[in-house]
Amino acid sequence: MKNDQPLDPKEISDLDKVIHSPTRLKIMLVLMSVEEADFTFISNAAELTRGNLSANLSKLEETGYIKIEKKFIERVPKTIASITPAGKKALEEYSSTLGPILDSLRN
Amino acid sequence: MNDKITEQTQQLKKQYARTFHNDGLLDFFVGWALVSIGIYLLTGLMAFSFAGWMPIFLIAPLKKRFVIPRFGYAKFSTPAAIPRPILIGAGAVIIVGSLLITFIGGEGSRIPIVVGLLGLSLLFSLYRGLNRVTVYAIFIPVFFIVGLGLSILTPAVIILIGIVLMALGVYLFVTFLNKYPLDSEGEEGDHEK
Repeated sequence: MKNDQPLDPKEISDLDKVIHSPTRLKIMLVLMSVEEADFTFISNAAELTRGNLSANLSKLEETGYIKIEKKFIERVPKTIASITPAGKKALEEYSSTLGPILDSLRN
Repeated sequence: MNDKITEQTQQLKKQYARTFHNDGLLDFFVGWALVSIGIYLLTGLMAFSFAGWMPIFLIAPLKKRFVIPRFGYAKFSTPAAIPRPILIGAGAVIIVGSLLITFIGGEGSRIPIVVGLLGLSLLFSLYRGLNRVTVYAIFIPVFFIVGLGLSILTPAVIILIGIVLMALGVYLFVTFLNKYPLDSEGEEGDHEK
């Protein structure tokens, strides 16, 4: 979309609704910034309560954007999440779609 | 990868790394090292020169005991600007070199201990990309060289600065513990699906 063109509502409809949630977007950005992280780290970094985080992690896992697995870190069992290639691609596409929309609103 | 996302995630990565290391442990042990060096310069007792850098080995266990259960575990990608084998080799050279100079050196054997200790900090900072460690690693050798050169650096001043840094470390540590209390739902952080 070019800045001098009117905003096409279809562009907004094309936004990935899974990522468009602020909570899930925060989680995706946190996981994008690390190779992997446990539940406590994501909770602190994204400033989310456990209940909120858990529900949204499940949603992201269902869509294949993140991978959740049990691992032993220093002999302590942890629930570890990491972003998948599909998740990275989805976040990139979301950014590519949202960027021009925001640009057209600014102009 | 989209440039804006890359830029954003790089910023977040740095922010998390800083928060993760803002527990005061580093400040406390730098202060500890200065106090030990100050006492060593004052008394000439070799034990204090070792006491200065030996606690560096306590940082990892303390992180595991206090920091990770509270702030959580994360693996940060590509932290090293220099390949790990080169860093380990350089670190070994610094340790062995400073110890050799200390044992075989005479009156002028003090500074290599300090520079060696801070050299290790600098290597660590290069590896982890931590700004505050870099500040310590650069500032303290300059502080020693200039201070000794101008003859204004007495053991008492070194000990005093060390005590201030230790106090800062304790303050940061207590703040960290209060900000990130242990979760009553368990350290593991269950993810119920």
